[in-house]
Amino acid sequence: MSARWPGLTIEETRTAIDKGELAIEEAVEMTLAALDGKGRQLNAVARLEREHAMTSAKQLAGSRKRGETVGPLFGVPLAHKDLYGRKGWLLEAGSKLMQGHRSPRTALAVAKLDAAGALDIARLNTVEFALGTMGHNEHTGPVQNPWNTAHITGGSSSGSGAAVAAGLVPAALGSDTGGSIRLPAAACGLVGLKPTAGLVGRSGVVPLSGSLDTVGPLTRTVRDAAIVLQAIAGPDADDSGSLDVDIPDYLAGIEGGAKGVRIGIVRKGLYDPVKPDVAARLDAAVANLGKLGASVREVEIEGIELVNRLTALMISVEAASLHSRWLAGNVGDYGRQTVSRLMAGLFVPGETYLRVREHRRRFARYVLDTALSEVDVLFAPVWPYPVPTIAETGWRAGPDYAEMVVASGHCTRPINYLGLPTVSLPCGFTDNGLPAAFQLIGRPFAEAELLRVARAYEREQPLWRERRPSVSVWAD
Amino acid sequence: MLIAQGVPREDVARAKAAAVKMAEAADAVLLELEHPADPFGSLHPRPASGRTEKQP
Repeated sequence: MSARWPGLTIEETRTAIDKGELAIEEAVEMTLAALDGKGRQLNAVARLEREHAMTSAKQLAGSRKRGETVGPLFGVPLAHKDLYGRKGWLLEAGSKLMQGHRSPRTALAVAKLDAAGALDIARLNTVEFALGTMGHNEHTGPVQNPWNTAHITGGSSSGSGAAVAAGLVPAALGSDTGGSIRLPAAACGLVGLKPTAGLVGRSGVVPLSGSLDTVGPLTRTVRDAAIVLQAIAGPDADDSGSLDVDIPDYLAGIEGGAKGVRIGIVRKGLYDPVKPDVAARLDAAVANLGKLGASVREVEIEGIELVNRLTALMISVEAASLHSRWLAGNVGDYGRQTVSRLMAGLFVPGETYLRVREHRRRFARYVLDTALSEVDVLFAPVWPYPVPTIAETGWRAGPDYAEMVVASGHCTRPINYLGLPTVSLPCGFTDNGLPAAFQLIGRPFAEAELLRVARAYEREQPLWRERRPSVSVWAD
Repeated sequence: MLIAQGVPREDVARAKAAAVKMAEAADAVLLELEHPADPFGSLHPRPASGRTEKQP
């Protein structure tokens, strides 16, 4: 019926279905074929769920014919990080340890997308147990970046980044404990939304750190990120970190522009490891935000550059606690990088961990009372250096490797520590031809404001109008 | 426990060393950020010079 799918956004897909230009079953078949082809070529795909996809597509098509009310994601095929359970499906979390494990339940976020009419058709590769920023996985191999397959996608939602950037699906859920939505979104030229801690329920998602885990979407457009957030936000009775807050209409004011918004650049501290090539793209982005009518100034968050290490400690301890029963007797089933971080977490003094947790609470208060009382939105880098190659970032790749790993989370982990919402946005390309990106950070539950500013920027600086990835549905 | 479960002693020793390093780094950061005169702290990192200190 139509050769346009895959490669459409959520909104375009909905329009095509509504106009009768695209049949749901056909969209699903083409998406499965694209994931099976380019998706596997990029090593983005963990598993296709063909039977479920086709059955669901037929059911949805039938409901439309019967005149039933349809949801905002009606007929849109999606695929998610291999941390998201669906009852009866394999759920392996990029690990050897969970190979063959079938999920006893469906993740709440996935169930909410079902209710909104989306079609869940595949699981995408992840860093083992989501513990890593580069995208490497000793069991499943590295996912390749669609813009240049020699380069990493970043992690840990690496398959989600590659699949959306290659146009195989319009959106995918990822998870973000220290940057794992924003880093792959940034490396792949996407919009990555990490919601406020507690806004989106996490039950049914394989955890890494109960204090820091958040779940959210990677999309090609800001409006699509808003649509997915609208579908998944809300309380979760099975998530102890969930908060019951009013959920606004995230699309209602999204075209309202950035005029008058006070933006604070967190240059001191967060820019320390930023390479000149990236800094030039960030400076251009700041100038463009100014042209949109935002007032831009620098703000200071004393000590922000030190928080990366505290966040890393929290992740190690909490992940070790989750894995402690499995670690004993199964060390050989973990990847070397994963097990070294997990085991270290077992031996961190409890006193240090508790002091970090207490500092976290006070530091968040401090940031809200200072920087985020002076401005509406904070501006910060995502990757401090141009997206590196797979070879440069492999296990013990060279003397610079450890430094690169630590620096990779320098600008993202502190935002998890603070529990704040943030959206990463592409801002052109660095000299190696890979996307560059910045993040906008808001007060708790200010997602609507962040999306409005992000949309204003995207409207004037549309990365996807300029270029498309070399391995993608548009490259044929 | 790990050694009893068959984890090699050298792996456990390496993990302990990494934990000590991580905890020392965190302690140093906390020392830097926590107000030295107020260890149980009403706040926060020391404010930059010339800034108005705000309390929660």
